Amino acid sequence: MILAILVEKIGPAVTVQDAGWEGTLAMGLSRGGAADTRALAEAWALIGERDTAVLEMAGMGGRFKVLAPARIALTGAPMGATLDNAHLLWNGVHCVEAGQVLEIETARTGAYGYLAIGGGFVTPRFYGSASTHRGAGLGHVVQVGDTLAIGTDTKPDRVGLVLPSVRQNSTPIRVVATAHTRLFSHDVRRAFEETTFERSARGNRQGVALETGMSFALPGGQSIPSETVIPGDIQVPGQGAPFALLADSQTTGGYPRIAAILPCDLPRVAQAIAGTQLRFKFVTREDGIAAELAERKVRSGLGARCVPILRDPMHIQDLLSYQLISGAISGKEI
Amino acid sequence: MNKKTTQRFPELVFVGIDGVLVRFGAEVTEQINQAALTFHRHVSASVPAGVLESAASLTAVFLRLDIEGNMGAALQWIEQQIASQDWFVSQSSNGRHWIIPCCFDGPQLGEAAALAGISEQKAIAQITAVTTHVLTLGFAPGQPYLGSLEPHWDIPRMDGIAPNVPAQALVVALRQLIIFNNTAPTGWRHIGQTAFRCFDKDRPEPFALQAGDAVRFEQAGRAEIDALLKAPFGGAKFEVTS
Repeated sequence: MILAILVEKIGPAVTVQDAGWEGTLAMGLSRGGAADTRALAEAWALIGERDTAVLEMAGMGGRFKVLAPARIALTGAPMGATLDNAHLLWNGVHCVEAGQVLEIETARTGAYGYLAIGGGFVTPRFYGSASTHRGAGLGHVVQVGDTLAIGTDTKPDRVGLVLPSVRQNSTPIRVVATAHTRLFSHDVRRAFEETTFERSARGNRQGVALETGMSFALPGGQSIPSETVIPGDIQVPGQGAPFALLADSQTTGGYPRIAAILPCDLPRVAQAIAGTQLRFKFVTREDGIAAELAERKVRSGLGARCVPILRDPMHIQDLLSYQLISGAISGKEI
Repeated sequence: MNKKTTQRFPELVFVGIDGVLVRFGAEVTEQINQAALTFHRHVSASVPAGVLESAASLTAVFLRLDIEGNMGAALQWIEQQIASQDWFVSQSSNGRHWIIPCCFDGPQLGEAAALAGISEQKAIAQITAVTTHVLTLGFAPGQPYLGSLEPHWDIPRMDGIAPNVPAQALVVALRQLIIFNNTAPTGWRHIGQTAFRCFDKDRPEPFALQAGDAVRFEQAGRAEIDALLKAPFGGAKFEVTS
């Protein structure tokens, strides 16, 4: 472990995250971890390591003085990034020398950018995870003046790669039935699918409010006892405006829940900034499981999809399979 | 339990793609809660490979399945467990007993007592006399739902969400009490202040309470509570009776 990063300037909500907790629901601690699990998988793929802790940057990054040679990867919501004032490719893994200054600006689109480092950030862990859960007082919120430690880099030569975007974003966000779906009438469920929601300004890692003129309130819904809730559940409080729960959600809740967002589609809701339009579509549980399994397969293959940043197109035989236009730096992929 | 309840419960519903909720009733009663806690203890003791975790809430037990495993077999196992015994037969609790000091100077004590139809003095007397049980842990880490108070304490949540209650505040609604671990907004009425941290990541036992624990409150003065803030469990006394 070495002290490698001095924080000279920092956004208001830069936190240490990893995949979060498993098996802590019974104690009242939700899954937590990276809000955009796909971007976390992409960061790990670029770095070539798994289960390391990364920095999640909500809306804005910071200025970091690098004290020891390191490798960094940048994923998630694209933010302007420079190393000693030279532009850095987003969705890439880069070599950094001691003394260089890394600057990460505000997000151009999307909510959460990720900074991974070879060896991972080393901060206190609770029940195996370094994730930051503010409500629980766990993890580490990065502050100006922090000197962040990193672990041993296991792949020091893996640099100069980019991960072309393979996300699909045009389809409605897929949901399946959840705890109270069948208490909502057929008409209300259909209206839910036909409504275009707007991500409200009210939202954080716990969840985001979905705005629409219409009420989806369930008659008698206030008498439901509190039950286990999961990230992805869309609850409908008394006023009728749905609220989608994210990584740091509470573990129990008494509001009726109309649908649950597929885990593989949840990053898109997390990355939606205020004003983003969102639509939902019910799929069967079987189709939902198939979609999630397919996403897990894609994630496990991301490492092999990383390609050298500088590459002569003459030598790329499958050039057409790369999304060169919508790729690494367009800023539109979230 | 009426006949309708017997027929419908336990009821099994899916939560998202990998969650299964086994409900034991539609309202919070001691018996339904006991059934959920007993079932949770039973399944936690013998989870098969396809079940990743289980968690009890007030009236139900949540199980998370492994979507990469044999989900059909896991579901069958859950159904077999549900059918394996009468979960509504009362069982002894776990024998852990807490006495937690509390200063009843919360700003909404008067309002809560009025809604319960009694004086403030009587409200304090009743809350310190009753032995409650941890019906479940949830919402935030280690946070207990304690119940059940007498039926006249079935007071609603507030219409709006209150500004933050302080950490370790005691709040009341719906015949239940909650000790908040951190400062947080809530629709429950703030009636008292403890020094009891339900969750402390730096303590050898980060989660103080377990579902089924018995909890009684003991009246204390404000100065006493302030002095107990640094004590490991906020001055709470703990014993195991059986």
